[in-house]
Amino acid sequence: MKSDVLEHSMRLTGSSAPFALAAALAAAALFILAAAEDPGAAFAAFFLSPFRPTVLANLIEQAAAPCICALGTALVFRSGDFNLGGEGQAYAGAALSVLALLAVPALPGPVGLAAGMAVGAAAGALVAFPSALSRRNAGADVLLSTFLVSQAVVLVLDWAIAGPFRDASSNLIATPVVAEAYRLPRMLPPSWLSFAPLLAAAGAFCMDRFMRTSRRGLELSLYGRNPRFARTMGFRVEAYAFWPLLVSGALNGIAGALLALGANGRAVRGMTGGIGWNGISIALLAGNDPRWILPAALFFSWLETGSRQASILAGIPADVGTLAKALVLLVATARFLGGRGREVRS
Amino acid sequence: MDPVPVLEARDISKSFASTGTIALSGVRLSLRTGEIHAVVGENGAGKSTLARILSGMERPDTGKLFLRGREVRFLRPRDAERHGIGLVPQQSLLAPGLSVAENLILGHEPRTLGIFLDRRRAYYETALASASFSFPLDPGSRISSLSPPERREAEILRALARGGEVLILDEPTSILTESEARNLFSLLKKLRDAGAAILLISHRVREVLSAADRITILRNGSLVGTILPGDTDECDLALRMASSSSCFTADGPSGGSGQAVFRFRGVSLRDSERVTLRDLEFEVRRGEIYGVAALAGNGLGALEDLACGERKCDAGSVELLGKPLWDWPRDVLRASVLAYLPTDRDGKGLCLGATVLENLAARGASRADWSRSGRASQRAAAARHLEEAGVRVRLDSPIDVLSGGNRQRVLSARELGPFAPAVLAANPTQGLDPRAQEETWNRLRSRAREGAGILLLTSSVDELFSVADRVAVLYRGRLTELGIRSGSVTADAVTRLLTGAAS
Repeated sequence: MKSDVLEHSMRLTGSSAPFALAAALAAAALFILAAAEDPGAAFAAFFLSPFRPTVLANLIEQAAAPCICALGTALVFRSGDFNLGGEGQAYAGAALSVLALLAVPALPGPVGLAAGMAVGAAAGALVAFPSALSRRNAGADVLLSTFLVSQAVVLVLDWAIAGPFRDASSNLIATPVVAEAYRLPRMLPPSWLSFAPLLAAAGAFCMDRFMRTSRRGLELSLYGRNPRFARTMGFRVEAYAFWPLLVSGALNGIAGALLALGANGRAVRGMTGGIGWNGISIALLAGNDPRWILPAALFFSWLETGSRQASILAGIPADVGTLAKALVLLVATARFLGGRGREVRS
Repeated sequence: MDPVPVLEARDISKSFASTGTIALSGVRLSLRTGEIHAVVGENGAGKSTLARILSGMERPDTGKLFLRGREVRFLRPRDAERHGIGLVPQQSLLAPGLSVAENLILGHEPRTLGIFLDRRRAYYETALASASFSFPLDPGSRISSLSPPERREAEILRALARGGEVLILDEPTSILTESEARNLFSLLKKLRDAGAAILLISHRVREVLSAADRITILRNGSLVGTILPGDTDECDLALRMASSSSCFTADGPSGGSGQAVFRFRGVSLRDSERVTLRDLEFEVRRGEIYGVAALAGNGLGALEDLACGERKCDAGSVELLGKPLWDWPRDVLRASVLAYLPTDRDGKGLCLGATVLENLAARGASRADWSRSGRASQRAAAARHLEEAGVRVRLDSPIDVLSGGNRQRVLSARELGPFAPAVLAANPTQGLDPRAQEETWNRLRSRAREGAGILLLTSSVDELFSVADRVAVLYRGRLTELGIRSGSVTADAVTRLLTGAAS
């Protein structure tokens, strides 16, 4: 059953994305019509206000972290599995990068920032490691193991942030703020826009090159579709069962670190809530094609920003964005729109 | 004077817009009660499409169907079933997780009070049907636990239980061994004598000639004609099916000499299914085709696993070019030393869902980069290999859309295109029409002439005698070498060894 879903997601490319987008927009529009006292103002707030310069810059910044998560998700999809542990991996990346930088407050800014990101990547990879190891050595179910490990990590980090590492002077349940020099440099104040979107774009480019033009990328995708075939062809299947998950974990960790060192400047309890799922939705919407992941992430970010704006400016419940995203996920995973479903697979 | 046919198709045409192919054009067919009517043709001749139209799974673009002289229209399979037409499809439609009885009633569940599934009645009805056709099937056993011939029987039983009068079988023997096929045909003859009308779709000339009462020949979607088996013979029928008019000529055998390519020394392996390979001792030399024949369940699968390096033997050693098979790095082995045509073509030989090009490039002899320039040169190499193999397909189309014959051609283009000193061919022509079969054999022969050592594992005596230079038989895990193929080794002797009649 799982393999059917995978098979389907891999074939999703393009065909159902327009449906998903249309459904999301239609749902948002209907919701606004039903809920708004002044639908005209609400429409403007939802659809147009995100294009004001500062809002737009923030929108772009917000797309970066989910985009990086989605790249890792797509990579694991390629290898024939799901990484459902994005939540915990990103949370670990956020918390550990902050804790590491709190421990060394006097490094030069760029060095500290780079070190923080590296610690974040390592932390995310570490959370993914047990799943990768058990997949390679025992063929364990990644879907379950990533999710379970991640949930456990979330609980531990919630406790750590609320307990031993809490900044007592703050009203937030959060760690202290890292040194100003370590935070992502803001390129267009007052917005939070940093180099993170560029990093995401570079990541998407590299991932695309890898998947489409490298020998290993080809082998990985063949392995993901049919492990028995890959084994018969003499591919190094143990490697392909292992490192995509680690890379995905590391990317999630980097996404977490970007969140922590950006607008927040600290690790806040529950700060990465939903980022893993967003990553999966974005990867699905983009058909797991790295070239479409950044646009899909921007679209999601626009939905979020629009619904936030509509709730502030026109009193619409902010859930409209969540609803629209849920519809994207639903439509993107609906088998019948993917075309070649079970019928052709005997 | 012709009796009114039970099922008649007039001027049936069908084309598939998505692929732009014309599957059938103006085909006529009449099926009478009490006959086995064979429809023959090469892969892609339109046989399966015809079967699907007759059983309501597809609708024709033009043309009409008549049942006992009255026009009928089938919108869905159930319409055909209601008129007594049952289809046994080429690929099993049975639900593997359910029992025979549950599969039989699927969609026609007997109910109590109109709601609850009457399981007991289902089992009773199945047992009754099974007994009345003298099938030894247990209604309670799961489909997944049945052997291929038993699955075929379950399929037939299901078709009979639903239809009863007209039975359409699409390539029923493709997954059966020769002896299992013979049993199937004696069963079909029994059904025929009981008054059933049977339409048999096949490309196996020999079995059609032995079983059919009339033969309809299709070629490229058009009707060639309907003939009686007495008016033709194997060669003639194959010629009529062939889309090119020239008769294929088989190359002669190649001579084996020189160093050992595969060497099995005292190899034993305990297999999961009772069969145990015991003390296998043989070698395959450069330039020869060494054929090992066995019927299903005698250890041929285990031997294949050993020879391709998927499993290790319990005792003894398997060597490839003088080096233990397991000491070869897997990637080097498959990239440039061992060419392998697996029995499980779609599961192990090809990657469904990937494109033709990706399937071909999966075995990069040079492990060339898959970069843009690398890809361009791989495209060129792939196109060349496909042309040599006589396949005309687009490199970017998914492998799934190809017919079985073309998939096999892609596979052999990949494995036999670049030279490899060792070739393992396991049932390489299973499910192929005579032309594709002959092509594959010729490629194997020419590879042997160029110096490759070829280990051919097959369950077909025909194949063994067509290509192998030396032959051996595997029976219950023991290998009997028969030496050089010549007048002294007869097909009869091999058959007796295969079935254990001579021990």
